[in-house]
Amino acid sequence: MLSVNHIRKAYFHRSVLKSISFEIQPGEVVGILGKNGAGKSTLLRMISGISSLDKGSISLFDTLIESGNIDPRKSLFYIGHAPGLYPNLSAVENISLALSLRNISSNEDDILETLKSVQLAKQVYEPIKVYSQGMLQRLKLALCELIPWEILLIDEPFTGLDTQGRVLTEKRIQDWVSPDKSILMVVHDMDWAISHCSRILVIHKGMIGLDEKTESHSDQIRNYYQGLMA
Amino acid sequence: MFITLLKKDLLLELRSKEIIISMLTFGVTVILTFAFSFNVSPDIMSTFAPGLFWIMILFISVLGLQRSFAYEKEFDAYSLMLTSPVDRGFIFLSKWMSGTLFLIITECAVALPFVLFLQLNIDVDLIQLFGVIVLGDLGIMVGGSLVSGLAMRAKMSAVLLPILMFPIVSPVLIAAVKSTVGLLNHDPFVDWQLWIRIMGSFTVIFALIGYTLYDHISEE
Repeated sequence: MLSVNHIRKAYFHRSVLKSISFEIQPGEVVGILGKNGAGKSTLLRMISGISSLDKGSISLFDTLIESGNIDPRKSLFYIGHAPGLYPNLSAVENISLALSLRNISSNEDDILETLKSVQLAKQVYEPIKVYSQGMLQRLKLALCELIPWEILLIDEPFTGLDTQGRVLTEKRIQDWVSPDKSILMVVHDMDWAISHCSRILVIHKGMIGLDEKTESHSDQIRNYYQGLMA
Repeated sequence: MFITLLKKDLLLELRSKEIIISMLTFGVTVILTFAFSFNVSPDIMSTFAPGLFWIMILFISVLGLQRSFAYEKEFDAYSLMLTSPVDRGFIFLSKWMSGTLFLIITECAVALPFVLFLQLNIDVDLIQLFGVIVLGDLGIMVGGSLVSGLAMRAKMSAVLLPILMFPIVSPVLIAAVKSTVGLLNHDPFVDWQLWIRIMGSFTVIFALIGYTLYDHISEE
């Protein structure tokens, strides 16, 4: 499904990712762990097409993700650390725009219903610059519900969420798991990742330090990551 | 898709009005400064007017471009554009067209104060004058939009934009001044048609370059 081959990225001569390779199959929920600055967010931005590759290739369904090729972007949906939406537009306008950019006709009733389902029924017509971090995260959840995707890339889905928001996000992520869809997410909570992801990738020194299934290697993942953080 | 992107740019400006307000404020300030600085007869002033006008437009366009691309940087909203299955060339075209439109709106607002405060006697076909101004606007904005796309990812984008943009758009700026002088002096069209051709060629070439390369330059 998704194939990442020996990708490399450097910023101002500082290598962030030296050589990263892995494949993701349909149905997998992959958690990416690593220290701050390990390149986790950079990796997601490269897969989503926001950042260019210095070397290597990324392909989705055997089609290269590269400049000028818009087809892979139809199957991918990226939710970054920042809101990734226009602060002066309302929640409804931002969602309508995101759908229009994917040639999906938007029905305002559907949008309002989805916003209600993520506990964001109020202030839907106000500019999102007045939203709290938690409200912005809920808005991103609504986008994930409305936009059809086959691979979802999420960068730190629990940032700024209260307990209620965290429970809601966890439930949504579990609901999204299906045999024909994959989720790749950057997380910091190792225990959560082990219990909710089917596979863990740990990035260390610009390489894949560990790549294991959580079902059979949870202790190994735990020991490796704790050792890394010690 | 181009229409969707253009509507987005117009809606963003409609909501905040930051581009138009900053351009208008700057334009009026420059006009007042010119008016109170020069103590010359209207005849002499009319010889300087085209140059003063286009210098003012150049600086106004920088303000507009900086604000227009700042909308994309806030909240990392640009990532929504880049991750969507959109031909990124259309992002460039929409930025160019919306920028030109904002510039024309500002010019319409500052045209009268410019003529009145500088005591100019404009005795030309206004449609022709409007055509020359729009062509100059398109040329300045096409170069500016391309450079803005390049500079927006840089840390010092506010400084980089004018440094890169001014030399690039200087041919179109000179051509715009020369065309306006030719028109205001009632010179035969054959005498200044070369400058119109330069502006047209510049615009077409940079539009093609921008549309083709924007996919590459928009990535981090």
